[in-house]
Amino acid sequence: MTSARHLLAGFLVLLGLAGAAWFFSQAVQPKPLSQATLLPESRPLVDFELLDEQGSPFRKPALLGNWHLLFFGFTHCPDICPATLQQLAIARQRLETQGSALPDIILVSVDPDRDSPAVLASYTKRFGDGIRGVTGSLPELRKLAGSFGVYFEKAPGIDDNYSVNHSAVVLLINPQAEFHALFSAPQNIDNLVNDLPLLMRQ
Amino acid sequence: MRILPLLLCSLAALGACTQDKSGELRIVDAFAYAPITENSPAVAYFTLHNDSNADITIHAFKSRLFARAEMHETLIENGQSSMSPVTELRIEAGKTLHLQPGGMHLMLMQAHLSVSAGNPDTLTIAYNTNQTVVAEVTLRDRLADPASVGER
Repeated sequence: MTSARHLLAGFLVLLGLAGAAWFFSQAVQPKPLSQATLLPESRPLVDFELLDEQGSPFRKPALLGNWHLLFFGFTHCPDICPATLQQLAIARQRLETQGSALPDIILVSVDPDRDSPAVLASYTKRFGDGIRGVTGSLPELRKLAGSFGVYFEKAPGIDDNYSVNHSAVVLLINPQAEFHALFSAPQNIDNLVNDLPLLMRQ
Repeated sequence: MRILPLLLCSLAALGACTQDKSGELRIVDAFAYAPITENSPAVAYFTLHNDSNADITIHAFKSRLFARAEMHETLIENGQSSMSPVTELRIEAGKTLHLQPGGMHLMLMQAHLSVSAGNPDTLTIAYNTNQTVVAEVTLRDRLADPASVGER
C-alpha cells in the first residue's frame, strides 16, 4: 500500500516537472515574426541632410535615441502612400493601447518640388501623433534612399500632374540610427502590431 | 419600382448608395477618402458588377466635387510601387471588378470648392455608347475610419 502511494507521488512529481518544463519552454520560445525581415546585422545609416517640417536641417543624429519607421512616398499619391501611413498610424495607436514601446513614423517625401516642409506638416498632422515628414534635394534623397535599396523616379506627366514611382517598403531604424529591419509591401496592421514589439526588444 | 432602391438607400443612411439607371452595370460598396491637404487628391473605391450578358466598356468618370476623376492602378512588383492610368476598362459579362486600396482606384483631383470629410459627392461612370451609372458617396476621414483601412 505504501509503495503504491510512493509510486503515485513520484508519478505526480514527474507530471508536475514535465508541465513546468513545457510551460517554461513556451514562455522563453521567441514568437515568430509575421511579416518583417530582420537584418542579420544592423547597418549604420549614411550621413544625409534633409529638411524637417519647420525647414530646419534633418540629419542622421535626429534619429538617435528612438525607434523610427521610414516610408518613402509623397503627398499627391492617392492610394498606397496614405493607405500605408494610415496603417502605420493605426498600428502605432494599437501599440500605445497595449503599452508597447512606440516607434516614430517618418514620411520621406520623394517629391520635393510639390512637398515643401509646410505642405508636409499640414499632411502628416492628419495622421495623428508621432508622424512627421522630411524632404530635401534630390541628390540627398537619392543618397538616403539608395542606401536602403529604395528606388524612386518621377513618372511622366503634364505640368504639376505627375506621379512618382517608389518603393513601398517600410524600414525600421533602431535608436542607434541603424537600419534594423524592413516590412515589404503590402503592409498589414496585425503584422505590424505583432512584429514591432518583437523587433524593438532586440 | 425604381423608387424602392432609392428609398432603401435613404433609410439605411449608408455612406454609399447606388442608382443604376441601366440595370447592366451595378456599383456597390462605394466609399471615398477626403483629400488630406488642400492640394492632395481624394480617392474613391467601389465594386462594379456587370449584370448583363454582354461585355461592358467603361470609358469615363465624372465627379460633382472634383474637376478631374481618373482611374489609376497601383502596382506593387518586387516591393516597388507604381501607378498607371487606366483609360478604358472592360468588364466581361457577369463578372465583377473590385476597386480597392493598393490596387485599382478612382483618383479625384482639383476640387471645385474646399472639400472635407462628410461632404457628399456624386460619381458618374460612363460606359458603352451612352450609358451611365451613378453612385453617391460621402467623403470619409482616413483616421476616423480605421475599419476600412486599405489592406489586401
